[in-house]
Amino acid sequence: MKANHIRNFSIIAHIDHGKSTLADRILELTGAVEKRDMQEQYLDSMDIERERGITIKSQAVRLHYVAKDGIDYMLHLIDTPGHVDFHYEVSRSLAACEGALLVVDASQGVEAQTLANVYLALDQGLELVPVINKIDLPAARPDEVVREIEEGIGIDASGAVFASGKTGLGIVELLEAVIAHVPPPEGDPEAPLRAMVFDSQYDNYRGVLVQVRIIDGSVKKGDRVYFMESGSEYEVLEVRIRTPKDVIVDQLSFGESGVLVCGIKTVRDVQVGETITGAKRRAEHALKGFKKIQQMVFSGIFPVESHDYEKLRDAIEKLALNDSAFSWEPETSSALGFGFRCGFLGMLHMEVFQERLEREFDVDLITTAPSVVYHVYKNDKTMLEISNPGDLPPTGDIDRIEEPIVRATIHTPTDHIGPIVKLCTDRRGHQKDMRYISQTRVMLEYEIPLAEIVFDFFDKLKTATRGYASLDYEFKMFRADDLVRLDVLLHSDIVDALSVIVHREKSYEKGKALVHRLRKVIPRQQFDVAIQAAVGARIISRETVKAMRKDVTAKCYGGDISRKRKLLERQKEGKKRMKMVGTVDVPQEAFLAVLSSDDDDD
Amino acid sequence: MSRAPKQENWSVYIHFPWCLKRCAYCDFATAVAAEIPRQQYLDGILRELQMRTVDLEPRPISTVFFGGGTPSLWGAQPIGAVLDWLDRWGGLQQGGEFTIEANPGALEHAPLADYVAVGINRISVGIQALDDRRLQRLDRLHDAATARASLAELQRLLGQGQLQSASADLLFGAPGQGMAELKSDLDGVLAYDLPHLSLYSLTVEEGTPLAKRVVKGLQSPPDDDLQADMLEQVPLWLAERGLHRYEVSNFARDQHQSRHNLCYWHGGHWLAAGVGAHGHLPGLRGDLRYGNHRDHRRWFAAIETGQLPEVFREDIDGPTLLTERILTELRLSEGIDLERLARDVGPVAAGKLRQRGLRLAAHAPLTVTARHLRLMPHAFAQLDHWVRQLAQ
Repeated sequence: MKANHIRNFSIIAHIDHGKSTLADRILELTGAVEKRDMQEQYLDSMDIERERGITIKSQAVRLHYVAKDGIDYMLHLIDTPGHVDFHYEVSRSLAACEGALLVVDASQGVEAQTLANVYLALDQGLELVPVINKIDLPAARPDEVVREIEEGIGIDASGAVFASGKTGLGIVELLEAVIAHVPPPEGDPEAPLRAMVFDSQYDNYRGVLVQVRIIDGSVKKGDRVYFMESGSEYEVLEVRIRTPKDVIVDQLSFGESGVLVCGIKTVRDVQVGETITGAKRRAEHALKGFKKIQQMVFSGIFPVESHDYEKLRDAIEKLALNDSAFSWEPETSSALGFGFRCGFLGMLHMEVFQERLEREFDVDLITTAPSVVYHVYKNDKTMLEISNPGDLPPTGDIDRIEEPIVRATIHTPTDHIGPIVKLCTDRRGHQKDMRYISQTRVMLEYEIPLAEIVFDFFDKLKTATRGYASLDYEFKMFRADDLVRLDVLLHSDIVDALSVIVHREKSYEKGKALVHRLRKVIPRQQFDVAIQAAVGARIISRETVKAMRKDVTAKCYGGDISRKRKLLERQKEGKKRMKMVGTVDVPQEAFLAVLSSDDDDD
Repeated sequence: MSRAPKQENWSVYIHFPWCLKRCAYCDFATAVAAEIPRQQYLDGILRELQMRTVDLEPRPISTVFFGGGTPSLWGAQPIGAVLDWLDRWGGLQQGGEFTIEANPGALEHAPLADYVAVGINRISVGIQALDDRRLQRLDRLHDAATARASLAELQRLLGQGQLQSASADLLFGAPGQGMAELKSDLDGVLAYDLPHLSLYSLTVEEGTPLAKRVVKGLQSPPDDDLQADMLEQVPLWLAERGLHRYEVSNFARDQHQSRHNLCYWHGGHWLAAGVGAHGHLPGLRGDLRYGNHRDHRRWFAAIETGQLPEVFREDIDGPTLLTERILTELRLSEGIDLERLARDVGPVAAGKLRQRGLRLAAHAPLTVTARHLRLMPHAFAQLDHWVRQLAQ
């Protein structure tokens, strides 16, 4: 295949703007997937991706399309994650392309996440093909959205394709536009191999499947290759492409995308953004843009039953096989026993991981409230990176605590600016920019502590704007602030797993709310249970779960005995799902009480 | 091979599901029908008894209990017919206890004396409260005056020696009833000098009209702390009147404890028939329990095709028997009979329970003697907690 008959492109879209459905139609039209084999969101293979309508893993699918000029083009559609948690992964997937479809919902218009990815794409020098999707909907306002794209993003959208993933309208036009506007790959076929890794997956039989885009040179089975970042060398055992079925091919040449099987045991050995070159004929420079992955959010994961520790470890190991962005290490909590401190790219990544642990491995978990990483500078000038509030050194030893600050971009219709500004100010945000994208839409930029947005910020934002605002953020810097540890005491004992780091000015309000929520979730016991919140030695809030004085079944006669016995068994099961902390039975949800929204309180 | 009960004589339970109206708190197998199929139900009951007794050893029957529902709506003739059938099969024991439940509003169908005439010698009447407004809120059909009339009738029958014993049910801790109102209900009932009373704390059972009202916020749930106070107070008041607690909710003069119900709590065997009835019989391997259809149409359909009208049947193995024994016998003031337990589940399991009891007793309201393991009287409000502690 001649390089100028190749097109590499991805799809940029906000969640719900119809990316996966559009991809389904493209697969159908190019004959990659027979209609009868079609299932919705074909490329999203994980259950969780389908259910949540999100893409977590990237992959390249090779398609063939005979265009109106009569030429058989090779297209690589590179499916990318669409969530802010996966910012860096998206940037690498985009770097594997020369162009991208910019899919915008004909009624929703441009949203923050779209914009963030558009800027990523423009940074990579990608050619954008605007697609106005869902034009079959009654609320569609395509002309207005075209204007929004032109004014808000500043690209020419006059040639935008009007399409509907649902009806299949405009798919041919869309593919023709890809061929006309997306440039063919450039590269040097004779130069030493340079292949960029944009994702990897673990396969039980083959080990790690390394997803690559060949930038220069070519690679074939039997080649010895060298990973420039990690410094390891492997033999290429197999070269594959996806059509989307897996097909073994002889080689991949410059401009093409595919999968290398090198007998690698864990995805941790294959970093996204890595450059692969020949072991003997090495390229001089690695490709630009490589970054080490940074976990932003940490949480403790513990088995409810301590004897499930091994089971939990196995489950985490198995999931981690396929998730290079996840980090973990053993952790011990005096309240929860043995478990793991796990790092995630963001809240979605964390939720998906925890859900898969419970669903696919059937382990009952207690997860502690997520925390960000703090840089704690001690008086002796040393610095500790702390993601577990329990690890904070004594106050007297601390010089200052720095917390991660992100730059958050919020897109909203202009009528919701007020509530958003209030929300951001409440969350210790500083406004950095406010720009009108069109007469009715505005973009706000804030610097906000990451800790303030990981909990429930997005939900709050949605509520404040009736779902119209969208959010994107990226790490900016570490900055010192007046931060303290808020402890929770149950029955006078500190429960380490419930400690959180908060801003001093907010500690009173947070402590009060936390104690109040805990009182609601901790069941009455045989004795009064005092719940207290404290900063240092100072108690700032206290409530009591009164002892349960009546715990007796009034009636138990012949017909009731089986039922009462089953009830007893259920109660014992329920008790098992609780954790004994000292002498107090604490249910799982208590450990997430920090997370619940303040509005839930009466 | 025919099977015999572990106790010397049989106990028999017959369920009669129909009521004139469903009470707000009730989650028993009940049905409200304009026309009650009295004769058809009698035929069905006799057929079920026939099927169930095929492989049971006929032995004298020491207790029969007609429960419901409102079995006093059935009429004296069918009740008499069932008793006759049982008498022909195993023989009704001289001095046995033959109880029927009655509701004050449902007495008119047959005077209580008619039931006595066909062999009933104990009547348990559902008074629940002696206050019109509270009775209404519980969806009871009768008013306080009707309740008093039926109590008076029981007193008369007892006095004439026509009844061997009699009992009244009262509910406590319903919203609107404070300690003073409870005392007034109790005094009202005690005036009739019955030898047995059952006092139940109002419980919100899933699926009942009461539960729906509570969920919708139309009615406040019972106050647990108030009920706990009442649970402490009631036994003191009743003891003064010679009525002693022998089970969590049951109080009696000497010799007037319900022998039928004691059979349940002691883990005895009983034969049961009727819609929603549960029986506990000796099986081929250990004990077995069965439960009948709660829907009378399904029960009839099974009976008419010659099948047992069961929805479930389960083997009660050793560990289950042990759990159930703790669950039921700890409800009794007398406590768990460790000797009998050793006979039923083996000395090792019984010994372990005794050890666990002894360990807990160091800081728990439990008394462990050579023969019994019992809860101290003041701890009955926490009974379920101690059951969970013991039933590991």
